[in-house]
Amino acid sequence: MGGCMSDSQDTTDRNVEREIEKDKKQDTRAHKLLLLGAGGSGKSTFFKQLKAIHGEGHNDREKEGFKRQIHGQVVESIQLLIRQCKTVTKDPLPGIKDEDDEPFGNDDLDDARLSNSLKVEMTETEIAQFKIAKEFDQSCQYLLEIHGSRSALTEQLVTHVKSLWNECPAIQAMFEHRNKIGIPDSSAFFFNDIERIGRSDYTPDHKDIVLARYRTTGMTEKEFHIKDAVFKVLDVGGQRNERKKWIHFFDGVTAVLFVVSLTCYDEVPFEDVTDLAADVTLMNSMLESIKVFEDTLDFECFQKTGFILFFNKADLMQEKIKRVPITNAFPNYKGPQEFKPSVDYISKYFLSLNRVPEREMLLRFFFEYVLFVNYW
Amino acid sequence: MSGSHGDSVVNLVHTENTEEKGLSLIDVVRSDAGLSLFAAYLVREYAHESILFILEVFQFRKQFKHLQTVRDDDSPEFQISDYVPKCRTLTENPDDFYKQAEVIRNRFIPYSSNLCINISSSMRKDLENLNFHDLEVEQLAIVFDDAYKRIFSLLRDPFLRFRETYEYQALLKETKPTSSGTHPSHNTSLSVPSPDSKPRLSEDINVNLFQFIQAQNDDKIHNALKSVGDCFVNCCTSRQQPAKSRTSTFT
Repeated sequence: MGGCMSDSQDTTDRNVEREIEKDKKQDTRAHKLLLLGAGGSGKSTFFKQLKAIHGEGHNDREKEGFKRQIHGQVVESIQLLIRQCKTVTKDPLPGIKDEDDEPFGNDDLDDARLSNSLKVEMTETEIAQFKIAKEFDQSCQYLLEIHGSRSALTEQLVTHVKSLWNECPAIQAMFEHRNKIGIPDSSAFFFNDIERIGRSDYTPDHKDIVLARYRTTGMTEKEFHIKDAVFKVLDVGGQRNERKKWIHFFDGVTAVLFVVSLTCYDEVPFEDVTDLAADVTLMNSMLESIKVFEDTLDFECFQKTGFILFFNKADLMQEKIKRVPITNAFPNYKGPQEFKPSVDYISKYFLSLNRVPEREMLLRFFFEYVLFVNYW
Repeated sequence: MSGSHGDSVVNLVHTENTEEKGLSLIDVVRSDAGLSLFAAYLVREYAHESILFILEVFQFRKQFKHLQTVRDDDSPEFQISDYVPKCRTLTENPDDFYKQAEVIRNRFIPYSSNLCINISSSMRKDLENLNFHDLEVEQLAIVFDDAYKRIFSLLRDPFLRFRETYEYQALLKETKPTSSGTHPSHNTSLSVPSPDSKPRLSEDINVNLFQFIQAQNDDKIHNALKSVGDCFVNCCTSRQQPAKSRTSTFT
């Protein structure tokens, strides 16, 4: 590619050559950082933060895109909450025709299974709290009929979401179990701000963008210039099918940024972990995270690569630890049900998985929403 | 050279027009050019299994248009461009709907498949354990609907980045602005912003798309789709750059 420059070439040509040369130089100077971790650990959140702080930020077109993602998250979350309430209480969905032959497709497979996992430990009275009162029928029906892909927030939609979220105890009760039905924590933030988000002139701000949760697929890369160094950061999807693609990006990696969600120890995994959960009664995503970390450490090409372990969502963990002990995922933990010792245990556990002593391992903690510039 | 290198060529320096809201994912996949370009873009991001699944299920489902179960759900995500040639799954098993469903499942559902799609393990298990022959045709027709919807909404993520590309800008220019509610017809054509030749890009792309759908081998699919993307990059940048420069990845 590196053809030598001759005088006969015109200016455009030379410019292009120069640019290519520049690219090449940058390529060799750039530190390639790979963001890895299980699904939902916060890789893309981290990526968005980087872009906002060290990149050029998000332009209007991107903000418009994030707006759609946020609207989509709101609609999908409220729909899931309603459907879960209806399924758990065996309350027929409003608007479904009275045909005896229940069409297979109307029965969301995922929902049914999830609500089963939810129901296991519940008594009849506990289940009753998920019964949505009749007065909300109209709202439920309206919201369930919306297609997630066309999710502009109309005034009417905002009103319905607001009334369900603020006035319907069943929806609130179901939201408390969000870890079991796969509803992102940040949906509460968007529900609370539904009026602002639903305004026609709404533009997501930095916080909205960072909190927006959606699944990543494939791979994106971006270059960041921090002081004199150039970092090329690769963001990938974390679900099991996405992890098959990781191997394509393993060439010349300076360091792996491995992201772990601290709160996932009581979350129902997106992936099947039954084969991993030998001595654990409850399935949870922490097992998945550990497994992914072990597998990543084992890759031949990473034997000499430095790892930076990012423990994400420390702020949410501080709240969660009050309600749920980490023994859920770490049955051998004997310490108190407190933030500091629990996190210490988790981080030591992860570090102990490294069997290559000379490999550099760094630990970092960060929060779902914080300008983590101070932590570098 | 890494396969993603070509990306930097098409990533635009943004020229902002705050008025425009642009095209949505639904708008884009409704036009054949949009669908092709987006598919080609997904290959560069290693996310093409999603669009292949969407295409195959869409075509599979379309055979049952007369059935009530299919008509009941005509949500926007089921209205994508119809100008894509029929996939091999359908042409090789004409009229055997159960076989077709089986082929789609084997291609996209098991973890062992290279085209395994991003759905939850419970949805995957349920689909894997289902005996299609237990289903009536009415049920079989919509057996992939839930997965289809999940994958469609998953595509919003790469679509965010697609909106930053030259391809998207070209699409935007070529798509006549429509008042809200109405949509460009299927045959939105896309001409390349190259003044000399003005090839009909959408046709070229469809030929390539056709090839990739025909190809069963995953690597071939990847290569074919990549060449669609490179072909486009080539066309769009040919004016500013000498042909021998960065388009060397074109195969």
